[in-house]
Amino acid sequence: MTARALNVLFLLIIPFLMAGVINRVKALAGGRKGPPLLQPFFDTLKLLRKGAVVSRVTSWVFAVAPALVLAATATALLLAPGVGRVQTIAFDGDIVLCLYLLGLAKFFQLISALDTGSAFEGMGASREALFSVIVEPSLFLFAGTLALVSGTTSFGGLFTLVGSGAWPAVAATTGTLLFFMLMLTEGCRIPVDDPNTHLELTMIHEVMILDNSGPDLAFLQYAAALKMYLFALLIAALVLPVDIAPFQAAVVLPLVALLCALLAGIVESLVARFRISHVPQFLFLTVALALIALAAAVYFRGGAV
Amino acid sequence: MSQILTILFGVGILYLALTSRMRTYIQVIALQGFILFLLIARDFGKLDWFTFFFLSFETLAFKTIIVPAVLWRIVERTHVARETDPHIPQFGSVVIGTAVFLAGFAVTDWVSRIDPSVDALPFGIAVSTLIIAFFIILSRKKLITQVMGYMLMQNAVSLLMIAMAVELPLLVNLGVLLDIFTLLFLFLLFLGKLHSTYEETSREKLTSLRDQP
Repeated sequence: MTARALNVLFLLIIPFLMAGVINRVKALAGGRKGPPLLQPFFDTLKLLRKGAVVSRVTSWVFAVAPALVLAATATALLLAPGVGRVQTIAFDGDIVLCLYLLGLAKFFQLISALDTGSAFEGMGASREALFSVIVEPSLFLFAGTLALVSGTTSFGGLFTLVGSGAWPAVAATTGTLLFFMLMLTEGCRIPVDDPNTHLELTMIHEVMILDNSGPDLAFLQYAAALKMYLFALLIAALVLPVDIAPFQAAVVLPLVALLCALLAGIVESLVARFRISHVPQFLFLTVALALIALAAAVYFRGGAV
Repeated sequence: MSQILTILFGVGILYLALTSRMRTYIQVIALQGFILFLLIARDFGKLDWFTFFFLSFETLAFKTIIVPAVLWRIVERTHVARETDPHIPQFGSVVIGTAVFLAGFAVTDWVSRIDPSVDALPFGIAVSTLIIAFFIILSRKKLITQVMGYMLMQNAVSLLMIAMAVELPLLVNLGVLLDIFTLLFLFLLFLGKLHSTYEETSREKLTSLRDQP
């Protein structure tokens, strides 16, 4: 019960802190003091107090999309393994629902961008769709590999890597790299996207939400931060020991999430944004990592799969 | 921990298959050298002190620091920032690299069934890295990239030796060291001279070489 309550509490706080840590690291790397760590939270509060301006060419899709994207992403997070790998909501096959909820959120965000009738937003939606086509198979492939090895389709058991030999090490390493790359991609971070860019031609996620304002914009920005937290949770589930005590997990889990944010900030400070044409190549690396994990599951477990 | 380091060693060369920046190549070569050093440091106590000192010095000083530093200097001097037009595009290289990794694991499975004493993961990663490095040499046009591919092969051979046996014959170690020395001489003489004649150090430019009339 306590673990579930902590999961919900962390869901409300840590995504904002992660965004704040990334901004602070980038500022420090640039020789500036940077905004407070909770600045993204204050920005969200400010946006929630504002009214929304809606274009007359948009339909009901544009109106419901932000709330739906946030609801789907938050529900997906409740299914993910949290403190001590305890899920807030758990049942057999919950990983399938989680992945489909993320897909649903992505679908509504894309058609919401197309609904505005803006050529720029259509361009952003097209790019986002292309990147999703590359990224989502890797996620499904890696999750499928874990499901085959563990014999379960529930998130809690799926990420409990037990046994000896090369397989747990391969799964933990490839999975951590894979989820970190997905965190950067789905969180709209450099080197895939730049959340601070003001040049429409180079935008991906930001150009899709150009027409959103007020609470709608706050919902979409919070949903992007939630996705980053989701992948940080999956990394934590892979790397933390299986027998970690609940109170230790409650302390270590936020630290792992903030460490992921710190690393993302360092990457953003050191690496230039890729050209759009190079992003699919970079993202294909996630598929390669998932395939390596699958091959390791087949060969290093003596054909147990 | 050593298994995680070994996987990072392999992922490094997979990343190289998709990148075109020379400095990234050098950084990965240095990272692989450091990983080799850590893998040898793990065997502290299992090796005699001379072999341990020799291998540690070779991997840390040469593979991690000196060779990358020389490569860095050459890249700056020749102004070759990236491999712009490889024979096979970067995307194709990653696909082929991934296929090589999968095949490498299959070979490892086969070898480890024949000889269970072989450490399967380093062996598989080393074989895959060796083939991908060879592929990089074949698919890239710049001379400097091809030499870097050779360095990657050297790193793969070192990992392979670690996978095959803990106690490495001294002769093999000296051979590796000789390779490094030869490489440095080749770099300093050959690339320096070549750059003074040609602006580009591309292999294709060599086809225009002919005797003076």
